Amino acid sequence: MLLLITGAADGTSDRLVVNYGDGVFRFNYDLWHQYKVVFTTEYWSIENPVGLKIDSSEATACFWWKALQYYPGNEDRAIKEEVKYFLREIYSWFKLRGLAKGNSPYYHNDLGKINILSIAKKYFPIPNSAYSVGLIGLSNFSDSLIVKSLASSQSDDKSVLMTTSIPSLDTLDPNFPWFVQDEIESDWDVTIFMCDSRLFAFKRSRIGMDGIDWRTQQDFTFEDQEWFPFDLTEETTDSLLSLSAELGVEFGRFDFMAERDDLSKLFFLELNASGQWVFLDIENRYGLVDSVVSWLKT
Amino acid sequence: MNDEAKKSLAMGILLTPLLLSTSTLEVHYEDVFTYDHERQVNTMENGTQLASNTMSSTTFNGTQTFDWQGNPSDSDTDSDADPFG
Repeated sequence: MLLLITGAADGTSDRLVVNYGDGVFRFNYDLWHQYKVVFTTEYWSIENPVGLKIDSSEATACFWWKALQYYPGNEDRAIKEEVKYFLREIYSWFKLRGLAKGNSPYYHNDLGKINILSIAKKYFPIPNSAYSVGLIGLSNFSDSLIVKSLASSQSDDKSVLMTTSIPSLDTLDPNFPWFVQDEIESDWDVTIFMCDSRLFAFKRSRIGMDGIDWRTQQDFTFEDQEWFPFDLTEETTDSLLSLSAELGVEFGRFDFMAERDDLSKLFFLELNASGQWVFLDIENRYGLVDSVVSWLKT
Repeated sequence: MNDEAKKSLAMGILLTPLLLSTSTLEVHYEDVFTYDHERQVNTMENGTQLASNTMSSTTFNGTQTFDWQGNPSDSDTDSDADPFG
């Protein structure tokens, strides 16, 4: 039986549960108090309010999906941390037995972004990239620059630094931390979802974009298709599979930009180890959900 | 670049990460989700069974977010990777 650790309002998890059929148990972090749980050195079990149950004797896999993005009400932080600690414990129980699917929710805590870029540049061109305080070490950068966030954390007033063009380095306050990259001029954003070595490549036109980060202009109504599938070259496929192997991932979403309008030449931007992917195939036309479900069952 | 950052630049003020940040919206789905422990999926008020939340809990210039109880996201960016990825 698969243990799915997630949040109650998560649509991706809904789709996975429906397509998986029997044999999945869903634990929603934000509803943690509705489950009965025991976790010992010998065994563990979790039971939901209607009597559905999973325990250590029948658990075969675990998939963690965005659990901590759902907020468990007005609990005291200390209580929430206890529950989170348990979730880390049970996820590690699966990891210790080689039964955890996908990437750890803490994947980027271990590897970050710049370390991934340093590996990716063996397989793909990457933009000049640097984290700098004091604006040092940036002399080899071009005149066309962007800044972005490493952590994408919300500020106290609930704003986030998205990828933004800047006029020049001397417009930046050197007393702050900056993640700076050369800007890539491109007609296409490209994102490639990978599941169990299957690659699903999608492109999104950058023509007429207001700003440079597609996430700020995403149509959450899904009324108009924004991302369209396309075929990768054999060389890109081989490079991406080699990169994935070196990064130790079999699941995730890789972001690229095309060189101008040439989709055969891709600049690597980043790996989203737990990146969203259903938005690429909201109607399940291209088989992404089926692919993930099949992989979770292996 | 947002308008506040542009104004600051015009006044000769140096840019900071906070000045360049974009406000996030927390607008809520019209549909109300009810989580069904028997089927382990959501049911919405309109009878639709699958929740539409397949993106992050907060969005930018969007028309909806997915925090169905009206709560903020947990802001635990130490986990789950990029909350906007």
